[in-house]
Amino acid sequence: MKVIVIGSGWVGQKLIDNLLQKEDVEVIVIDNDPMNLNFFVGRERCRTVLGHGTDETVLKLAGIEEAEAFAAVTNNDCINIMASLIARDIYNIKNVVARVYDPELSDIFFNYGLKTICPTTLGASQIKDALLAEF
Amino acid sequence: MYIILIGGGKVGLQLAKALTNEGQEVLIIEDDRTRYQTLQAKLDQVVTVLGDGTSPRLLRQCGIERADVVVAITDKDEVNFIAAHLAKMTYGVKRVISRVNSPANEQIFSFLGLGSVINSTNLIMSVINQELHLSHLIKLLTVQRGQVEIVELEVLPESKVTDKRIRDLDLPNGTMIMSVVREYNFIIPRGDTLLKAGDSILAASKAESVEELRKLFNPVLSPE
Repeated sequence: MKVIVIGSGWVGQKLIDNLLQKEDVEVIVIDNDPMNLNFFVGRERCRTVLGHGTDETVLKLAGIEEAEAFAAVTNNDCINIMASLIARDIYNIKNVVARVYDPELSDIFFNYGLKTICPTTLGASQIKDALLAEF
Repeated sequence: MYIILIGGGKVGLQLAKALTNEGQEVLIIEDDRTRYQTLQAKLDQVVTVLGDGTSPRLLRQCGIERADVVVAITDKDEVNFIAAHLAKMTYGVKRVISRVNSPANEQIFSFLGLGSVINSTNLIMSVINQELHLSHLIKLLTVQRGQVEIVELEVLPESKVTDKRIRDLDLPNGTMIMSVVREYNFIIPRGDTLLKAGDSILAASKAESVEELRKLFNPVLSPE
């Protein structure tokens, strides 16, 4: 299965590590920072593309036409949402996930049917659970 | 009218000036502190807000729900995209205009249903084309969701339309000549208006007929 991941900061790196543990997964990483991409050079079943995740030329170079899943995890909400909508609505990828920091923005696009994950809400609720846990 | 501008660069600043001169109520959102200070110094009738124009909370604080027009004109396409999307889909703003910096994104914007799109790169390109006379047909404006183009044509001396009357032209289907400019004089064309070399013509055309129109005005190469 081909998976495209845009953004390879902390979350991206961790995500890709997890994905590559599955034997049948091939990952294409898109990032506009060559330093981030260095981390993946030479890894098996992993290809890197330098560029912006909202640029169709870059997405085509990454093989978006054959991709089955798409994750947008850059540190920029707007890029994540726009890239995800391109993947979902123009290239008809069914499995599209976007990381969106702004909880309200995350909810709005979630209601438009985009799978958004909001680290802010998740973090806050986990911290709350940890605080209120009984000893 | 209440108009919200997202992005206070050079375009935003000039637009805000022009709109307030017309007596419109204008608010600008800018996320860069230096630019924000410039705006504050140069605009006195405009409310300037320092912040992120893609934050739903900020947009509501700016009263986006009562805005008549939202214009997203930052130099970042993804910001314009999200801001325009929020304005149109979430807050139901009637007129939403967004600027596209990368021509490749124009199709994406219109495919994803974002009303009026202004492509600054193409705009500059067409002005340069016009100045360089690279082509005798220049697309000026696309209206009706890309179905109709407003174009400017130049009548070249070697063209077969030169010295013909408009009624005798074999105009393609769905095209109309709206005006003729001859030596800075504006002429409302009639059937018997004679086209002269050097004339500049404004025409409206169905998108699919533009190429045919271009061919009609093509220069004819001499037989030898």
